[in-house]
Amino acid sequence: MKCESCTEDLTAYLDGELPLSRAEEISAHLRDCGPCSEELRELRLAGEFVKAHALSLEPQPYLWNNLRGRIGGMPEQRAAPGLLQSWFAQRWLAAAASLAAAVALTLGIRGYLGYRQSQRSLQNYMVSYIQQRESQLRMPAAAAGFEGVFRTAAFDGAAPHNPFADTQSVSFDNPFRSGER
Amino acid sequence: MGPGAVEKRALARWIGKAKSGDLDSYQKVYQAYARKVLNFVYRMVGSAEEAEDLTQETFLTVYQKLGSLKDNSKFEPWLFRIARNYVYQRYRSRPPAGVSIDVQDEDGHEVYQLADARKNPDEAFQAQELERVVQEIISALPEKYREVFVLSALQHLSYEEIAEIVGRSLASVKTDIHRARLIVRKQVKVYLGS
Repeated sequence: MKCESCTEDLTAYLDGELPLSRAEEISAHLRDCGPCSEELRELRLAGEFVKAHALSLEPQPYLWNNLRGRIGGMPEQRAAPGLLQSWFAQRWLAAAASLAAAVALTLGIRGYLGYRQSQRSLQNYMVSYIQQRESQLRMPAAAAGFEGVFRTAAFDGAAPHNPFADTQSVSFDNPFRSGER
Repeated sequence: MGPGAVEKRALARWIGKAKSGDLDSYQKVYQAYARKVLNFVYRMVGSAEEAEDLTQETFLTVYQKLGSLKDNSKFEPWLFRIARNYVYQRYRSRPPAGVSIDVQDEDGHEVYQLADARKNPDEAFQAQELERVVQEIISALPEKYREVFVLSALQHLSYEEIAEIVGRSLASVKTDIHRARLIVRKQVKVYLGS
């Protein structure tokens, strides 16, 4: 193995991230190669130095308290439904929606039929009422012999026959006029 | 440090319960990861105060979106992806802070505790100096090297998890981690020599 190939993998080797076979190759090379072993040592020491001296913060209790307060002000957490749960929920929802639609349709049809029925009843009543009224009006007119006069003249737009028309043409002399003269 | 292998089942259980809105279980999830996220964000932005803000935003978003996480075993990369998004959002609006190891906020409150207890002022001063140096070295790394370096060397995530978080190929992540380590080694060499 060339040193270049070895050094490329030294960090992964240190971190235990290499496949076993590759790690064994590196180990074998390191046993025989001083510079690569020195590079490995320096990388390890640098890593340890950083780990040892990196400032480590501790979360303070008020962090959680603030967080808890903010969570308390949020709408209640709800878990996402599982696949099966979601399938059932969807089936139930679909069934409920179908039932509601069927009920609405039935009520609608019944309402419409009821409306049509009442319309028809009203129409029949009106027709029979009109017929009844007409027959009531016709009977006294026929009995008085004026049926033809009242009906035809009025409905044809012709002038009604005036039984007193003859009297209108009679002229009256003033018996006092000549006397004055 | 995050949950070990033994705790992973417990973690999956807490995540499951937290998905249903159980806040106590979510608190356990938070306790398992808050430190990791806080330190990851801190090493990326270089400011403890901003790190706290972004950590809080991260865990708030995690709680809101937990229902969308299909595979509970992918929680950690998912969590870091959210934290990383907040870091880059902050970068876009404002460049990252320079090295800052101030331990007090504007009102004079302590914003974090040091993980190790310092025995005397000299040790405390030296430790503080070395922390500053390390944070400077990390902050000086190019952005794409910095995140993979922090996630591998300090957060101890696997290369596969890192590739998932940063959305790049495993080969690319492996190369970038190696390059980042070479830069760090060069910077640290002067301190190692003494």
